[in-house]
Amino acid sequence: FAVPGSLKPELPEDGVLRYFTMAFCPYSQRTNLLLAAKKIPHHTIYVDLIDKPEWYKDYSPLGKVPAVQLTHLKGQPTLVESLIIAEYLDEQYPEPRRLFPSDPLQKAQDKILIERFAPVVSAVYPIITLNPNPPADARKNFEAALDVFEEELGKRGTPYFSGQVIGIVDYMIWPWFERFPSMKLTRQYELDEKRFGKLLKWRNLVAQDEAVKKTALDVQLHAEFQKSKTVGKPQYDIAFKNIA
Amino acid sequence: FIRPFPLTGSDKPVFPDDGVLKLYSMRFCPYAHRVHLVLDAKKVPHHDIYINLKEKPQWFFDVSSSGKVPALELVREPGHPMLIESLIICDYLEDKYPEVPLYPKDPLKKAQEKILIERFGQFITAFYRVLLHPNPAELDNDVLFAGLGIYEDELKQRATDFFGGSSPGMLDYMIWPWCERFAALKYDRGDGLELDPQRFALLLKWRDLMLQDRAVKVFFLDGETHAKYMKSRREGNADYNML
Repeated sequence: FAVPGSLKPELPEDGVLRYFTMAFCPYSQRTNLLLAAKKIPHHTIYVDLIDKPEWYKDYSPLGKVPAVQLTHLKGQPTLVESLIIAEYLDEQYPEPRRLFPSDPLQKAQDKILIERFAPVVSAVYPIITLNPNPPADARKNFEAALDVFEEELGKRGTPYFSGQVIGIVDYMIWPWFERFPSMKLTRQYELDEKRFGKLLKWRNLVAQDEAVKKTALDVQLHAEFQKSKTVGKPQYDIAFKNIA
Repeated sequence: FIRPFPLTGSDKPVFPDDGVLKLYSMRFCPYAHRVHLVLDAKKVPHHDIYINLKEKPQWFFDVSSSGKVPALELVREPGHPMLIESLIICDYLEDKYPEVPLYPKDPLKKAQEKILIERFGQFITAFYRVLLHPNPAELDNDVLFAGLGIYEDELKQRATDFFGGSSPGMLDYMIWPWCERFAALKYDRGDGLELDPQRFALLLKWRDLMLQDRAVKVFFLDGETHAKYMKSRREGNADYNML
């Protein structure tokens, strides 16, 4: 469902999970990845984040995405916060396999690693969103924050951050790696192959994952979306360009 | 074990190899406070090592590359891994020491609890704004109280003494450090910074009950003490050695 303006959509009362999102939001994509990885049936409702419809606050009190409404439960509660949603879904839908480690220490260390991605996101934000005056040290800070992940991959010595198979760390940081290549189109900037050799290899590997492929928007669309923001209102409908 | 004074300079403290967790902390840090509360509520033995955050000793970076507090050294695990981030540490302790459970068992209720913990960030941000503002009289206090409304509503809905039920749970402990510090605001931030007993009747009752809680009492500092520290920090000369 793509909902124009403030019309509250007619949502089917069929006990199927509802996923509220904005097509280009990387935090929201985290939830999309979980839903795809676990093959959880869901209805997707796209929310305009600039002109937030009034009715949306009934689901997500601060109007944030992602939000997941558990319509099969009493009271049809809605969960927010991408990492809280991820933990909940991982626990409730253990098939085909759990994405979080079951060992408390490994789980904590994975959560810390995910948290350590935050400085990557904040440093790259003005660059990737085409801020006309990004801070002079934005690129330097971005690359330094990414060094942590290049190093960690080396330390863990496995193809994925989560081990031999893809797991929660890989999925939770993936959305930004899907977007980094857009900077080649918009800023003529790419990740240095020598400095980030392991990360780039990891990226190509993760790009082949079924859930990643299912939820992907291509680089061109990401670049166009960022450009659309610089000339006026974000053009969310770009996400549906290739859908008949 | 509570070391009576913070360690400055380059002395790395020598500890017995006694298998007891080491918590790197700062006596006045509200995030570290969260971890103290959970450790004490679960009766998990720990050594407290207070760090001077302005002049961090080099040995601390050798032990924890992020240099952050709180940091919990897991001395019984191979390699003595260090955990950081207050909420991640507290969630780890919940998993590792389940005997005194702090989260609800039901996964949905647990997720909703975590959302409420996350939302408290709104109050924390407003709190620091009031705390650090050079001229607090200019601020609209409503912003401060706005962040508390949902907690009053939540207590009303749950109709229990604590958010966690008949005893404090994770939500109670995760928000307590700032609620304890609230009492400091009136000392040097001016009038109008008291909770309206009509609007926040249940929160005030909750606060009084929390003050009786064993884990809260172990680490408690009164409003005047917190105010003195906060003033020193605001003046750019945080006095870690105050106590």
